[in-house]
Amino acid sequence: MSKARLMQGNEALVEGAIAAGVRFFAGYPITPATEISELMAQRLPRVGGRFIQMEDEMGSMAAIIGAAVAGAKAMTASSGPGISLKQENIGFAVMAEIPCVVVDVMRGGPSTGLATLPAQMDVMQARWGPHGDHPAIALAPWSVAECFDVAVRAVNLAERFRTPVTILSDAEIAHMREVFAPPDTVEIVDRVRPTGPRSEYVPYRPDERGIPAMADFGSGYRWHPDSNVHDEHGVPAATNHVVADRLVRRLVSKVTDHVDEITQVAEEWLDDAEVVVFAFGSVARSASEAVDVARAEGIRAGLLRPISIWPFPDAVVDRVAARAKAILVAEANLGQLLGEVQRVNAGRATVAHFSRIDGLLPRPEQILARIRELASGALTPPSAPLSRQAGEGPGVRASQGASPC
Amino acid sequence: MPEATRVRKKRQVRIVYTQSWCKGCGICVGMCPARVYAAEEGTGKAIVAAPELCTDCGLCELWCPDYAISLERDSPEHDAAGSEAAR
Amino acid sequence: MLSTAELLKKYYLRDNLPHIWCPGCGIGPIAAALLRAIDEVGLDPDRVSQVNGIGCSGRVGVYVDMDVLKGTHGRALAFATGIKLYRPEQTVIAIMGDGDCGAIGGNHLIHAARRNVDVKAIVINNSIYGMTGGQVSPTTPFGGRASTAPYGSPERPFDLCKLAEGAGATFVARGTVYHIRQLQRLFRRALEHKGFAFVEVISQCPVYYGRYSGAANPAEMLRAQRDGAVTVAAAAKMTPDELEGKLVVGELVNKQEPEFVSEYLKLIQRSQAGETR
Repeated sequence: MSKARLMQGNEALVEGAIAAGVRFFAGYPITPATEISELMAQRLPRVGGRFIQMEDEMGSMAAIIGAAVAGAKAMTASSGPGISLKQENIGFAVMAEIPCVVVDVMRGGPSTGLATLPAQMDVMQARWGPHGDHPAIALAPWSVAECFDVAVRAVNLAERFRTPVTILSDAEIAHMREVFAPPDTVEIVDRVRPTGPRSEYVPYRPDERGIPAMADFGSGYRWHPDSNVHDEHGVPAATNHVVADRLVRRLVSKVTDHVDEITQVAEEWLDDAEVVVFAFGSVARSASEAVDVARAEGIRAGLLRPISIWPFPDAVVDRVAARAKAILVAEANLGQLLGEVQRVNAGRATVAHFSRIDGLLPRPEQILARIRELASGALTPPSAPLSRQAGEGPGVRASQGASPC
Repeated sequence: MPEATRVRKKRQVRIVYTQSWCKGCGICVGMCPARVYAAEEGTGKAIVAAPELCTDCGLCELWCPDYAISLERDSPEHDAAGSEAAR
Repeated sequence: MLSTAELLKKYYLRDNLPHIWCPGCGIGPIAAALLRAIDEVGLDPDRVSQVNGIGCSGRVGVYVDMDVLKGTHGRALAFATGIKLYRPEQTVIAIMGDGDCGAIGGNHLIHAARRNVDVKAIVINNSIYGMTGGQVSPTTPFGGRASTAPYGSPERPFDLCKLAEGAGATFVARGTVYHIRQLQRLFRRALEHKGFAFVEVISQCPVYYGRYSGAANPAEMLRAQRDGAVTVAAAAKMTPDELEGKLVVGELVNKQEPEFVSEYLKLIQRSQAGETR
């Protein structure tokens, strides 16, 4: 194992990506993701990889797709405004089944928002950003070490499922520093490439896993990744309605049929928990502390922390909904995973919401206060106007020099 | 020198025309310097009306938007490839 | 030079023919000229990576037996840059229309030219957005009519070759469908050029641009290409007034400068030797 050292989240993510085999990165400067570009610019050439800062976010997404089609494990990184710009090309990667990783280091939005401060407002965008019907895979780290692990897993999942994978980091995780020793080796998954003669290669015919083998450009298979709905040979199929139906369904089901394989969660104190906090990323750091203190007070609190955000871990949430009294969804947004939890819960447990959107980390005591309310039965109805929900913090009104809360 | 010019103009050229691909754009009809092509009544598609007038300038083949014209020249290999590909 | 039959056999996906381009469209002949140039240069088709844009011009790859990435509108040169940077041994050719390259793709055009990345940019310029039914494009002439310029365009058009040159392109050429043999030569020169190679091809869209501009038929549009063209040599002796409304055809720029991917490969060596500059 390499020597442990103080490392930034963005740096650990870069190390994980390179360990997993990423050898092409295209980016564009944007806070709080810029360090990823800078580190890739330094690190990639030293391992024979390629870095390019493209002229805009659409260009960097296109460049990684081009490189991926040429055989590279490829990555780009941005934040809200840049991720918005990338959506069309992300959708292309979905349609043409191009493996690649998109890192979204989330910051306050909407629009230019709070450029330097964390938020979790891009969750639904990570699911539904590109137009059209499509699946999504998104992973969210909560620590420097997990930035490394999630980067490795994201690259592997992209190769496995031939689809873009999003990493949902945030300004806090990206810039925090923790002691971390990167492992010397990691599990590596490579896309399946065809091995037979050219005449037998059907580029979009799924194999037994539901995923077609993918040839590198220049390896002699001569195939056509196409943004149009296409048949199994990659020929646009505008008037073939059977093909159109079949293709889009397969693009979705190749991911949704394997939710169990993709699902990754962390649990704390869940076995007998009555009040379960559902949180991810930097918010989960505070939630974890809140749950620990609640336990010390005798409250049967627990933490369910999704690392895979999409596909949503229905099965795990379902088990919790069946047993818990209450689920507190804590997010740095006004309610994006809330609806998912409510959907799976289907009216069983009480579902409450905690949100903080002022760019500051929720404090553990804010989440603890809600846990106590839920444990004692004094509930804030989920339908209460959002502006009056507990937990906004004093930052909502203060415009500068917000008092520490 | 005049001898070489005469030899070149006398080179055998066969116009292999696939009418099913023709969309009747009229380029060969309008542009052939030797007036080899004419437009068919009704369909407007080209017909090779006077192949004997062809001077092998080669432009109809290069200009045809639909790849409907292939010019096969001289050698037996050319003829074979042409008749096979035209099917 | 290969006959059409030989060309079809060697380079085309026969099952996908006949193609969908309109009667009289210039794209078919342009594609054939490019493939003849590839054949002339002796490129192994496996060593060619094609990128197509969106639109009629972006349909070339459907018919061609090569690796072809048909990506999103305007981004062909960005996809191409990624392919070339990762696999420098490929000859990367991007085929775009005037809208794909000059409108939405304009930023990628100027940066690919600035970088001098060894990609061949072929722009089929028919001065209209054909696939979507005839809208005005950045190369529609001032006053020209189109479906979104029903009173005549109030905008000046681009000279795409000047744009490419201004952005630093090291090879710039203009051809026309009429001058089809010269076009094939220009394609060959572009393929042989080490650096960003930009070839604009003046083409005819009889069904939309032709009707909007009052052209009677495709043959007339070819004749207009002939009549509107002047060679580089002739243009050098003409006054700006005489050049008004004319298009200079031939090789306009051809110079050698450090090529981006080659420079990056040198950078890799420097970084591995521990150097920082």
